Amino acid sequence: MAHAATHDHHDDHHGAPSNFFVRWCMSTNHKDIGTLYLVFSLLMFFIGGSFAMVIRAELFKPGMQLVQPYFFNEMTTMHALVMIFGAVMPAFVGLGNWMIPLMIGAPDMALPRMNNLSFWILPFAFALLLSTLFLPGGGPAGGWTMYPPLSMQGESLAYVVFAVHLMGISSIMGAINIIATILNMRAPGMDLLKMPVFVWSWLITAFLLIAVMPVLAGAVTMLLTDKYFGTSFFNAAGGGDPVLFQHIFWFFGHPEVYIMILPAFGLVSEIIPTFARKPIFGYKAMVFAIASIAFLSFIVWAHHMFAVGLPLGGEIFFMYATMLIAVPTGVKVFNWVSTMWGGSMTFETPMLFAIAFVILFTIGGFSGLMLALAPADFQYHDSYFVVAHFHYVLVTGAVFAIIAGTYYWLPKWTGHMYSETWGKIHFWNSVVWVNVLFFPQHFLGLAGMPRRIPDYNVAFANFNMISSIGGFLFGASQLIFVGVIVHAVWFSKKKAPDRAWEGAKGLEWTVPSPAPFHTFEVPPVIHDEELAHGHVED
Amino acid sequence: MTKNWPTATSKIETLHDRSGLAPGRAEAKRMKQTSRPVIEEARKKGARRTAMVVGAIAFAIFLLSLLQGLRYS
Ligand SMILES: [Cu+2]
Repeated sequence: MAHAATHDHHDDHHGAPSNFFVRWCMSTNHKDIGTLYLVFSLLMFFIGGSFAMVIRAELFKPGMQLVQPYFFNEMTTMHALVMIFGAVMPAFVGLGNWMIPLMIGAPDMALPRMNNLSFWILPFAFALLLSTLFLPGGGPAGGWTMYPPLSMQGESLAYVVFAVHLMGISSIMGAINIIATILNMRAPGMDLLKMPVFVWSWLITAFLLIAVMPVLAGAVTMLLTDKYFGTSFFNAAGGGDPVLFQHIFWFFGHPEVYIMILPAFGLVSEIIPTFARKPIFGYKAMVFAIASIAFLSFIVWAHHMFAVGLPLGGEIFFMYATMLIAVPTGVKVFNWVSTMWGGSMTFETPMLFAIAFVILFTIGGFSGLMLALAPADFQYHDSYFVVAHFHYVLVTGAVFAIIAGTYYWLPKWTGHMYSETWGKIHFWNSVVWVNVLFFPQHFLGLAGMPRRIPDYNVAFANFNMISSIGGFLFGASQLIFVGVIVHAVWFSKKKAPDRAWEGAKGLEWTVPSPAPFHTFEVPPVIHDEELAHGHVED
Repeated sequence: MTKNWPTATSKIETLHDRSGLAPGRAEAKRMKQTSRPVIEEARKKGARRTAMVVGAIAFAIFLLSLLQGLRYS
């Protein structure tokens, strides 16, 4: 398993294998595995999206119209699990696989065979998870957080736990690979503090994964033994404590949300300098801010539990610790703005998504700050305000950054320019409808509408209808994205230059477009002026 | 990881000496990037070691989380 990096000599000068099965199922090539991850993630994005459409359709009007309550609960649970573990995380791993070796001048990931295994576990994990929807007793319906005792009902738990274990193993192996790659495979001269911010963000994220995925595995293992092996970790009747699960779960869960946002920070930090034609403002501050956010993410978990009855000291500690995260996050937002300040900016699709990220993610950050206020959280807790908050962070944050990164590197991957017109149509539709979808949910939550319910008081009718319309149109807009990608891969006639964007810096732009099957087999000689931050002094 | 750092060849190198150079980097610089086996060997060894250490940490954390469950239930 620990076979390192570089390819054996006999296949040095070959391109991709011509046999479809050999090429894709047995791949050890970081670019092909990256592509697999990205395609898988797009597929999951649409499966999870279709669940969201069911949710918004049922909530279009008050009253029960389309689905049974249990099925509705399955939809909210599965939507979250699929989007978090199937769409967002694999998308970042895919981008990391494709770009980290190219950005640090390495020939491949450090552990290519483990890379193959990390990916191919995922289709099995999700086939297993999704198959629970067809079980006689139905799939999981207790929310993605799997709180006992609710999650212990029904027989799907064992399947879900096994699926979560598989996803966890995949993520841990992916993280090990990324750490080993970044620490061992950098080209001579690519010092740690010359690495692109995206690589830094992934290095730190990988350590977060290593620290928390095993905790999730521990939590679900205890759920499993509680249900099937007579233990009572979380069963009060046997001397256990259901709140213990929430502590363990959120010790994983809060760093998990940073796992989904730190690589997004990295992406935006690549894109904004390119289209502002200026180096990133405060490179070291950016790296340090990511590291501080990662550290703080371990000491804030109980802000998800203000309403369970924590001791007062706990409420206050977790409130202030959470608010502290605004400091490094603020540093990042101001640095992105300062990078744009005085730059010669152009507004191609990746830049549009990146700017939308900065503005809309910040809205999600502010509503997070509101939720961090322990006394106020008693009102907001489990309301649609929370739903609005984390969708701003995860959709206009993580997903927008993934889309921006895809547009940014699509010319490098395919060798063709995508259609800028259709990219802009995709952007404007996305940015308008996503706000129509999620902004009214703030009002619903403040007015008292609880989350995870299939029916609601007529007082909430108007905003729900607006939100649903936004949801349908946002969902439909993503089909444009697929169209743009398909066009760029197979139909675009416009050849991409090696350096697809005029202001782009970094090693990935020194290799041809499309990037050949093998790159940097001989470590490149690095000239500092080629790097985005070759000689930073700040 | 690399016990004997080679003497720095430039001011820049001295500045960055402690900032985590890629194993093989120093050797490669000295050999003017002619020696691929040296780099590959260093990478292979380093990658294996990193994977073992990081994997062991992950497993230890898994056990610790179970222990936590035992202790507080
Ligand atoms: Cu949190």
